[in-house]
Amino acid sequence: MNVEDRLRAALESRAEVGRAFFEGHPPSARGVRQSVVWRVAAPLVGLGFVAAALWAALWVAGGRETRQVGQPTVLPPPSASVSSTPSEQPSVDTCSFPAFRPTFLPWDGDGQPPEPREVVEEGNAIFVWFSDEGEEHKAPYVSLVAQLEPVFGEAGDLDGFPTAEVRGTTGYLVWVGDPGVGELALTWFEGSGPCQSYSLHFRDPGLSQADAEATIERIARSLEEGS
Amino acid sequence: MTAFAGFEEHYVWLGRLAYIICGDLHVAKDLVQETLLRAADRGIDLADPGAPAYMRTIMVNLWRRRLRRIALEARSLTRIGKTRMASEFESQIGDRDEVWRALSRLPRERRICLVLRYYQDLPEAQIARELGRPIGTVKSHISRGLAQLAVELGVDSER
Repeated sequence: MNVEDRLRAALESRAEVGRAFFEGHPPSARGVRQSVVWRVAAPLVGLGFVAAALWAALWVAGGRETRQVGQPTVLPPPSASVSSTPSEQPSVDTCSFPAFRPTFLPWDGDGQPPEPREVVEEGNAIFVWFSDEGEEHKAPYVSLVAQLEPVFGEAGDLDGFPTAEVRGTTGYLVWVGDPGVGELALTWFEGSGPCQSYSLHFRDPGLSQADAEATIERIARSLEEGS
Repeated sequence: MTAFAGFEEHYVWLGRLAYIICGDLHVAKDLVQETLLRAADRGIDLADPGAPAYMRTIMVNLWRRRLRRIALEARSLTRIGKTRMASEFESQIGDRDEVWRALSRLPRERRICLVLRYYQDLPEAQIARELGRPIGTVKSHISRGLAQLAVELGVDSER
């Protein structure tokens, strides 16, 4: 049996496990109800990852009230994985925050950006800038990630992707959004070791894919050390 | 609930696909629910013949988004009881499936392309359209993915 046949057989076998599981575990009424609440109050199309963390927190806490979601919130929620102390020394399993930042944000234009949120997730050190701190779930955002390991694959996996220059090297544009929603990641490598790959994310539900590409390229060109 | 009219018929097939792409039943369930929600948000008629392709695209991109995946996993891990149940469920196959283990070690894009090609039986051109990738990239992912699997399994990689 060649590799294709073995692969097909393995996928079918696993898909059967999935079928049995999903037939036995329909969407919970709670989940659907909560989803409908979100659909009305805070369309998930606009969620950034911090808002997702909020949702997780609400889910865990049994939060179901529409008004809870819609109210201004204090983020990020309490979590061991969230660092609020910029001077905190990273462990060997955690990247340092990038030494560079954008000097252009689409909603602010050129200039010194405000201080970002700082988040550490699974060793990735992440800066996040929201266009509207009170509306994280639907606001455009930019994030800059120092990746413990390449998130989108090794450099060789990205051959053929659209490219854009970033910090003097080649970055790869990876579409990560929903159809019709401007959302992109630009990922690049400044070495082959841990924390030597980066990705810049940009999401704006109101933009076309082409406009989102142009915007993320402009953000990338604005990255400066020590800014 | 009208936003979810027709979602039942998509739930299981999307769940199967999500599971073999991400490898975790409860993460897959979250992916499917969020995919259906996004489809509803964007006013997609789930009975439309184009809906499956649209939902595949949404689901794959949700999975691609590392940060989203982390959030989904974090949410999933809080459900201790369900996590245990899923582990028992998956142990029906467990470590006997070396192809599955080899697949799980592939870079994400290669795995996605192989699943869409060999589980969904999609032509390479359609995979390229749905993933928003050049067809050459898709062909490369498939070719390299098969080669890597063949090496790990010690089998013939000829297509």
